Amino acid sequence: MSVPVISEHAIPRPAISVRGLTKSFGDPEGRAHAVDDASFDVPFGSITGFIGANGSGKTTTMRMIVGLAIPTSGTVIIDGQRYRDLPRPRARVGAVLDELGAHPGLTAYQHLKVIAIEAGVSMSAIDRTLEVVGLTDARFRKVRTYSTGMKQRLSLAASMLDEPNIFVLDEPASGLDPMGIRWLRELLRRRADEGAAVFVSTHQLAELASLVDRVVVIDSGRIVANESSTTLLERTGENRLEDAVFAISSGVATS
Amino acid sequence: MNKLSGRDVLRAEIYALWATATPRVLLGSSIVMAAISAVANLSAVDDLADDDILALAMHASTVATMIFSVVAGLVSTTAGFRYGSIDQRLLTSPTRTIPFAAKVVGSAFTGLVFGAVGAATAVVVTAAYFSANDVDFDASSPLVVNAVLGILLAAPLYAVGGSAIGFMARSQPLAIGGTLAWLMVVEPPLIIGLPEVGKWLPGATGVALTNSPDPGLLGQVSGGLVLALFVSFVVGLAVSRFSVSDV
Repeated sequence: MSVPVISEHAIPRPAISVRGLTKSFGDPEGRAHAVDDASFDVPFGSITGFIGANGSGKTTTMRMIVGLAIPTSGTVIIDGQRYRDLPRPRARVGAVLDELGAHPGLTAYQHLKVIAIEAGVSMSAIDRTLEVVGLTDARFRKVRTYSTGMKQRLSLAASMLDEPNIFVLDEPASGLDPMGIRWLRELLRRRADEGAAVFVSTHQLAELASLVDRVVVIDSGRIVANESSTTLLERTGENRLEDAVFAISSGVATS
Repeated sequence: MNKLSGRDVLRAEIYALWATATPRVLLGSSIVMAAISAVANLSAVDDLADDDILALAMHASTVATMIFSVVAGLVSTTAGFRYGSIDQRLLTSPTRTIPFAAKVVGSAFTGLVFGAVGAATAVVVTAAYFSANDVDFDASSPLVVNAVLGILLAAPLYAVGGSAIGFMARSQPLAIGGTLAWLMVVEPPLIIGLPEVGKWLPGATGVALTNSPDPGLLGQVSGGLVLALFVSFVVGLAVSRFSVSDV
């Protein structure tokens, strides 16, 4: 199957540029590739869905993008620089990862205050961000008392604290109720319309199918599609994005 | 756009640590154990005028403080891996050595607090016990001063060592269980059975640094230097591994 690795349209100044990204485990002779030679761009002003089954390599890729996992080979450039070279990373990139990353004994306010102190963000940003994610009334409750959906909102608050314009979101809809998912869709759409780059992973495409402008599909560590949603639908002859992704992942469709 | 400030990273580290209940609970437990240990040693003897008794009382308190200091260091680091908060720190400061250094310096500060409180507890409890028994207590005697200086150095060293071990073990039960098992189960028989080897080990050198009356241990200065070498080695090993490993 021929895979269009880079977009069919030229993308001016990608927010995230991934080239030949590989993550291998094990000894050199019996290596397993969690991510295998992945290349794609994430443009500003749109929402790019990162779609794949559980264990397909989404989380590993996202953790490599923000420097938490170290690639075996390949590069990730964020708005012209490596993540670790960004002067104030949180002012450029907001990330929601697979874990909340908050000590359960802290309140939501204290959790964000730790980040704000470290990142040099004003304390007023904490209240503003908590309001955006709807946690103002619960800001002095300990994180251990939060529901899954509230923890997810707190993760989003942490990602937005320093007002970045690039978002790397790993399963942000996980744990949200239908109202929460709708709220998330509106939030991401608004950010993208304001010019931000949103790179969002999901294994339950129905949650975000109507939202994404572009799709990067990963299957067993390999990128099997990287194009606009419209192009993918045309290429596969499907009417629904879920069906198109399934067809691509199972090798039914070819370019 | 301003760069991140190392001072802010350290402030965040110390705020994050002391905003949780864990160090306060450990500090409270440390005070109670230091006091109980001193009283237990003092009440076991008849002649309170003997300098060795004073040394023993101080020593008992300082050992309790060291144990709680190392646990505070271990918890400080392993909680980051347990709850994923290390991710948040690295998203803000992606150069691994910066959050690592902040954690180590923050642990040293925590250890210093534990050491100061532990030393104060030892002095106050011993002085009160001596006073209750109509025996003079000289807080300025070299014996007391050396013990206080020793714990002020030993507690931060232990906390830093605990923090570094936490970076390598990552698992909280493994790190705490393994370190306490080493200090309380593995080392004591070695110190007694093979004193020529045992006196060079981390637990024994820490006890030596607190001016222990045990003649089988290294001297206070030698013990402190060997302990500092141990801690430097563990910190070096931890930072070299943490810099190149996935989180």
